[in-house]
Amino acid sequence: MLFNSLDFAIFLPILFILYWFVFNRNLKWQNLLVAAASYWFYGWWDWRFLSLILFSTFVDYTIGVSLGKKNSPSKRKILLWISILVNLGFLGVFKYYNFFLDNFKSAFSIAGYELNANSLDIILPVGISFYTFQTLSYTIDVYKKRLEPTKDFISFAAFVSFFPQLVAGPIERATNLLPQFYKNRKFKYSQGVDGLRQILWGLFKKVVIADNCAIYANHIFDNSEDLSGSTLLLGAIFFTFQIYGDFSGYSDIAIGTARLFGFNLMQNFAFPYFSRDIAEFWRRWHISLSTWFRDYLYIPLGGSRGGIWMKIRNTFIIFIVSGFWHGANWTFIVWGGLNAIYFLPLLLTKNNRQNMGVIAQNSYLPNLKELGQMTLTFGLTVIAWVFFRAENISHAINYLGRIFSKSLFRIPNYEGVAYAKYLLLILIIFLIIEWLGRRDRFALENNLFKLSPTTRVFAYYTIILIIFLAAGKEQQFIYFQF
Amino acid sequence: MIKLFLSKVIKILLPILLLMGVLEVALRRIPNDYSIKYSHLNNNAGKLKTLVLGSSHFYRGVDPSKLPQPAYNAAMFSQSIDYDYKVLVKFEDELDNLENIILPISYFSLFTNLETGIEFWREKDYNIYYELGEFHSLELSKRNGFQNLIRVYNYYLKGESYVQVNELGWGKKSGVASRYELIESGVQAAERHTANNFDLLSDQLNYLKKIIDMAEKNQWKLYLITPPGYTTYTSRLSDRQLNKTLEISKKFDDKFGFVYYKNFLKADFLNASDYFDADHLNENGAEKFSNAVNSFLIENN
Repeated sequence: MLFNSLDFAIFLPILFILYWFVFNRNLKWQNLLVAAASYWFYGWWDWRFLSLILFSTFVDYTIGVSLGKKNSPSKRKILLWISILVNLGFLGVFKYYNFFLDNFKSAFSIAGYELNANSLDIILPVGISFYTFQTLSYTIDVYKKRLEPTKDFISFAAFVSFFPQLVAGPIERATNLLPQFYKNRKFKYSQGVDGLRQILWGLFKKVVIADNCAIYANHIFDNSEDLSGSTLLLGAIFFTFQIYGDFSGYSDIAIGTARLFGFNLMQNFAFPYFSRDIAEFWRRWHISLSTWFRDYLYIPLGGSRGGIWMKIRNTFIIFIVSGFWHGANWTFIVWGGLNAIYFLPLLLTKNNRQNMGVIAQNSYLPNLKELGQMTLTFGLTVIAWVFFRAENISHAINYLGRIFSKSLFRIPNYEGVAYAKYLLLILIIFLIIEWLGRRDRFALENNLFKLSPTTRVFAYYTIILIIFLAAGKEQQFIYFQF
Repeated sequence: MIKLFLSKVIKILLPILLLMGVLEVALRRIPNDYSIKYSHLNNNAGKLKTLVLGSSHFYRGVDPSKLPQPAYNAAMFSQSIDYDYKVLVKFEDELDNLENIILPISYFSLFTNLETGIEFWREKDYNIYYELGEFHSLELSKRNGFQNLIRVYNYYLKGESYVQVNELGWGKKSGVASRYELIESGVQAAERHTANNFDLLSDQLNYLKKIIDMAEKNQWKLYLITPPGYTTYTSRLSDRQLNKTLEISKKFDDKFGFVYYKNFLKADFLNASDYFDADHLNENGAEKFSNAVNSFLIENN
């Protein structure tokens, strides 16, 4: 079920009423309702893959309970590895099998051998990369004794399948989300309003920003051979906003929806395009994944301790694995590698933590230095996104090659360019609103409170009207494919 | 607290929902090809002798006035065999005088369906106007709000029509494709129509068999026809997919006495001036092709 669909618009209020008015007296029943609704939500897309979630839930629940009983380090390690193998095994089969097979075949054929193995004709279950990481984090935390194993299967099932963040995150930690299922939840007016406001802003980002940028980005990327450098640059910028609007929009809707049901999910985006360097960008972009890799991969590998080579190795590992997490394609690996190259100079010169606060914390506008840093970081990000969006490596290289050519100085010209001007105007307004809200968790969190009640309602209507005018056919979220 | 929250939310949303409801009703009342075809079939199914089904190849390419009368063209853009079947099921009990069904077996017919194609959004039209499938489809969700408002304005205030078909359901189109357009549209259509895999074959074949069973039960003659395409299209088709299409169609022709198959893919009585793009006939081409279809019907009568 898509957040931007009529199905969800019917599903959400019905669940809300059942949750707060029918099942509110018994926590177990309320959790059961959340689990059942989450399975319904996921099954709406393809019920066959519910068995994967159920199996993954059952395995990690059982392993968690066993870890709680066993003290022998070797037995505990075996249990941990069973969980890792099952979860990564799912990912390996459904997401990476064909990629490795094709690359092995190519490698063998270069060496003069023909490998006879057939690709699997399977579809990638939506959200598999998200929920497998979520369940893995539970088992690892229980193994590390950072978390008591749960004996409440319903709560655990609801935690794994929690519908707002099941298919595209934020990837929640068991230490944050699971305990919320143990406590009675009370509806708070301010939390409800806050949730709705975040949903509204998420919809705006998805429907107005991402879906409209997608029209131009898709056209330009699909016809990049025939277009000028300036047009391609515009296409890359449109994609940069498309992916931000799409993914952070989804996160906003997920977090807002969870708040309607009394849950607090972690912040997943913190205005990443206002970052002053790449290290700051990665503290603000897809925070739940970045911190997941930091805690469960980077730090166990030694992190930034040790010698220079260890730092370089660990940085490349974490960024390349992060790239590969997004998809079984060399483009994602190069995208990760490129970000590692951006990041390394900061790490090696110990400047990676110089921009920890919010830009222009005490002023309306950034100073010239900050503006320059922000522009440079944004530019580097745009270049990296070209690899993320391109069909393959050669497409990305050709695309970038054409951007950095004489035609960069021509006026952009392509089908639909006249309408793109309006989109650029909307993007500027969007950036201003985001800038004004950069100190908060999402742009509308406090901006609207400063307005009088009448003006605030007028602002709601304006946003809804813009969403209505821009909304059309339901568009998938990009991160569903990961 | 929660009641206060709900009442405020309802107060804010109610005017929007009301406006959306009014707009939805206004959009549905604008006549379109689906509503027109459904209404015609609803009122005249009992009189029809010949019924044309299928996708845009027949929507554009078959003029019912050339066929045994009364005839009607119920083809629509991207209408796949499963939807041909659903339309037939909807009207089966009323088609008392039907004798001929003309169904295209285009290069893509057995390997694609509406649901998984790029025009999947047209499913809503069948839900809304043919009352097939999901009940909660909305006109509002087919295009963006701005386009919806323009549509309402154009119809109600400027009197513009959104019906493209004539009284017999034929969506004729004049104009001749340039050499460049024939090449470009041929390349694009061939690519679009070539299936990545044959996953949908068994499903679509199943629907075709159901149509054959229905024809047998009702003593209808079923004419399976592969529509014509210009050489810039036909030369780019996958042999494997095309041969499979031809082989299956011939097999049905051989097996059932009431099923007839004819391949017009490379019809030599048509030339470049008969196409408005590489796989769609213009008005002139459609008239020639419809005459040829009629001759095929007479041959097998």
